[in-house]
Amino acid sequence: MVSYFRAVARAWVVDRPLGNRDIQKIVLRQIYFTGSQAFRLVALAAVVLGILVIAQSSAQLQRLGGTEEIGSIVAGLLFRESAPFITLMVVVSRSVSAMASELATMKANGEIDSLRASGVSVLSYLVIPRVVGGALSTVFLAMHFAWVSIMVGFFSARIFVDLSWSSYFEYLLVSLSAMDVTLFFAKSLVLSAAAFFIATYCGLRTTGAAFEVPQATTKAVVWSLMFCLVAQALVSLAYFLHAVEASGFGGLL
Amino acid sequence: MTIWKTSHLSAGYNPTEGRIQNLNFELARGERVAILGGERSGSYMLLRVLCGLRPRREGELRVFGEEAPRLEFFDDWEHIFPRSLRTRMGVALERDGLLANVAIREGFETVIRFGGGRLWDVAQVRTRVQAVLELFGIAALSRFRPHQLSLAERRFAALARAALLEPEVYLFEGPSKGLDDRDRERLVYAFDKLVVGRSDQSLIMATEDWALAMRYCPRVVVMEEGRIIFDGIWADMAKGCPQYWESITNSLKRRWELDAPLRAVV
Repeated sequence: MVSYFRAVARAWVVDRPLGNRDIQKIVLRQIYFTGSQAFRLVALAAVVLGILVIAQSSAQLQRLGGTEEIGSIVAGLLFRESAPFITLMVVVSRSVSAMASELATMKANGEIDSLRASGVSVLSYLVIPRVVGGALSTVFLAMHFAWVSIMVGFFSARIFVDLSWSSYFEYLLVSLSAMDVTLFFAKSLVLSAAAFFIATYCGLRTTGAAFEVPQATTKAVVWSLMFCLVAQALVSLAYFLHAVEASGFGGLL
Repeated sequence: MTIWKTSHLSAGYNPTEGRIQNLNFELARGERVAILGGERSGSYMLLRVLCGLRPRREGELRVFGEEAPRLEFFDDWEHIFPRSLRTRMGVALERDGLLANVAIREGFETVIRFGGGRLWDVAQVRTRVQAVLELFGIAALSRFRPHQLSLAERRFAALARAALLEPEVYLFEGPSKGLDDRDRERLVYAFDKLVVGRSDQSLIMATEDWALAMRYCPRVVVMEEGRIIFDGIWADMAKGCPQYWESITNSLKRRWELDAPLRAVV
C-alpha cells in the first residue's frame, strides 16, 4: 500500500491530472455517480436519524427541563458526528464497492494493461479523478445530510417540545463551534478520500483473474469500513479529550 | 539503431516463476521478427517485458538505447518505461482490452489525448482516429461499444489502437488468433498498409500463424520453455530448428488435405 500511495502521489505531482479538462470531466462524472445518485438515500437516512434523535432526546430533555440543549445535540450528534459518519457508510456501501469491482473487472478484461501499453497513466486517468470525485461528492452528501437532518430536527422539535424556529436555530448556532465545522469537513473529505483510495488499491491489486473481482470488492468494503470506524472513533475520542481539557475538568481523567 | 537489446534476461508472472530465462535478444530499427513457440513457450512474456508491462527479474534490458528501470514485483503500478519510450511502441495484446464503458472512437481519442507524448488539437485527434479506423475497415463501427462487436471486430479495433500514435515499432500478440479466412484477408490488407514498404517500421509478432509470420517477418525466433532455440531467417530453419520446421511442414500438409474439397470446387 505504501508503494501504491507513493506512485499515486508521484502521478499527482508529475502529471498534474486535475489541470486537464478531460480529467475534470471524469471527476464530474464521478461526482454524479457517487453524489447525485445517492442523494435520496442520504436524505432518507437524515430524515430517519433526525426524527429518532430529536424524538428521543426531546422527551428526556423536557422531563429534565433543558430543551435548549437540543441545539448542542443537533450540533454535536447530527452535524459533527452523524453527518460525516452515516454519509461515509452510505458511500462505502454504494460507491467504494462499485469502484473496486469496476477496476478489478477492468484488470480482468485486460483494459488496465492495454491502457498502460498505450501510454496512458492508469493512476492519473483512472485513480486520481475517481478518488477526488468520490471525496468531493462525499463532502456534498454530508452537507446534504446535515441540512436535511437539521430541518427534520426542527420539525420534530416543533412537534415534540413546541420549540419555535428562532429558538431552535439560536440554540443550534450557540452550540455550533468552529471546531465542529472543521471536523465535519475534515472527516468527510479525508476519510472518504482514504476509503476511495483503498477501493482503487484493492481493485488494481488483483492479478487479472475473474474470480478476484468479488474478493477485491469485499476486501475494499471491509478495509474501508474498518478504517473509517477506527478513524471516526479516534477523532471523536480526541475531540472529547480536547473538550474536557478545555472545560477545565481535565484533571478528573 | 537498436530498439531492444537484452542480455541474460529472466522474467515471470511472479517472483519465483521463470517463464523466460537467460534470454539474449536484439532488434534493430526496421527489422521485423516473428516469435514462434506458442503461449507456454515464453513468447508472450518476452513481448510483455519488451513493452514494459512486466518487470524483469534478472538481466539487462536496453530500450531505444536507454537502460530500462528495474522494478520489484507488485511495484509496477505505473508503466515501467517513461512516456517518451511508451509512445514509440504500438502494442496489441491477445486480449483486446478495449475500454468497455465507452464507444470505440471515444476510447481511441482517450489513448491519443492521454497517451500521446505531444499535444493534439481536437481536429488532429479526429482525423487520426478516422484514418486508423478506415485502415482496419471498422469506421462504421466506431460508435459501438466493445461488447457490441464481434471477436474479429474487437481484434481489429485493438490492432488499430496500436497504430494510433504512429509508433516506430509494433508489438502484436497473436494478431490473427480466432480470425476466419475472410477476416485474415482483411488483416493482411491492413498489415500491408502498416508495415510493407516502410523500411523504418519495426515489427515483433508473437504468433502461431506461420503464413502471416512468413509474409511480414524475414527473421524468425523460436522459443521453447522460456529459451530461444532458434534465431535466424526462415531458409535456415529446416537446419537450425528441424523439430519445429517439421511441425510447420506437417501442418501445411494437413492444411493442404483440408483444403482439397475447396480446391476441387474452385
